[in-house]
Amino acid sequence: MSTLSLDAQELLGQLWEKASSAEEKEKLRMAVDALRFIASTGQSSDFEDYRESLDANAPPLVSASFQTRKEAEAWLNAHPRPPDQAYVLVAGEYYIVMYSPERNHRRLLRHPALEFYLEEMTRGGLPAPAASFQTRGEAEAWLVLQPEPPRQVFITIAGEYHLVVYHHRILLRAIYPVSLAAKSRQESVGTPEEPPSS
Amino acid sequence: MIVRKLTAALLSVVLVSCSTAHSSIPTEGQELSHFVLVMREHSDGQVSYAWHRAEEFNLERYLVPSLPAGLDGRIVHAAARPRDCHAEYLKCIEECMSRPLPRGYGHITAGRRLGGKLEYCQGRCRQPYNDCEELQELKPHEFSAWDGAMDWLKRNRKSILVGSVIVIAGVTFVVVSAGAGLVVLAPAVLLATAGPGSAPYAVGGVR
Repeated sequence: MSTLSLDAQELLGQLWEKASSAEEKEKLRMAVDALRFIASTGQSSDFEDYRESLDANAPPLVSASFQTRKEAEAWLNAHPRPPDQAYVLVAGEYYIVMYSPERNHRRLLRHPALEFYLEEMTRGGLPAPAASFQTRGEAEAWLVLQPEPPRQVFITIAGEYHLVVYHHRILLRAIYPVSLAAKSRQESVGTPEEPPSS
Repeated sequence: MIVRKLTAALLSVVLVSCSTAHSSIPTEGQELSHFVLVMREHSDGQVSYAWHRAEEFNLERYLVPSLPAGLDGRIVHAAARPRDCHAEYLKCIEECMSRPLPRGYGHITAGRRLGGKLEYCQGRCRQPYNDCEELQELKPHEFSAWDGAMDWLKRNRKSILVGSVIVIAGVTFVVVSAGAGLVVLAPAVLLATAGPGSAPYAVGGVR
């Protein structure tokens, strides 16, 4: 167990002592239990990676990636205990796993997580692109050659903005067109957001 | 508890009937409403089914005791239009994302993007999605012939719920027992008319 996790547990423990109601105590205990669970299931370093990815504004955590929906369905149906509410990529698009063990209900639902994420990433305006390419093929060739996976870097392909991200859990480098966010916003809100008046 | 008792009571009937499983297949669309269907999964994974004349069963035992007053003996179809649970879920997420987070969640987004808000909204929208899917499973499943219904029942026997409505060749059946490798379907007409008061049954919405 990392020192940081122990420190956090100590703080939660102090709050637990001060908590006035049994309900509050139970909630604080739950937070401590979550940290203990992470440590005792050997997930401490995964947890650290996750926290780093949050600080780096990484895209929503992805647990698996498939070329086709058929492959994804086969994986879901064969899984002894699918990761409920985890995201998976199918042909580069976000899906959420829905699994109810009591009814053995298994579904993959198309999910707008990426669209929300791209909206957020572009809300403050777009920076100058880190690199520009004529074709997607050129961009992909460049991406493969980077010694370290670029994390949340804007590039342009044929003048169109794209975001290069790193799905750290599945070691996948990906390029998403920023226009996905704009499209989602137009559908959901109706009008594009005003540019920020920084 | 009730289901377990019924299952035990029925098991003997089923065990006897397996060898004669196909002997009493009702003529399609003709007498279907006079038969009870029992489907059983054996330890080797094989599934057998048997139609029993309804007289062999004491259907009174399957009556739902908690029908609201005034509805005894009537069949009420609660939902007519299929719901799109995925669409409802997405709408729920959209609405949640367009509202500010409740107090106390500031730490999720402080210094970071809004991924935490999406997780919050997913958590909030999960139960309504579950409820929607569960209701969909309770909606009537319709089959034009009994063999199509058999295939469907075989595939879904593990997730089928007591109270599910299945329409076979125009005859409405209700799942009166399910679980432990056993599924029992009884014609809704018999369940309804056997009810206390013997009020005329009504298929379709009661408004």
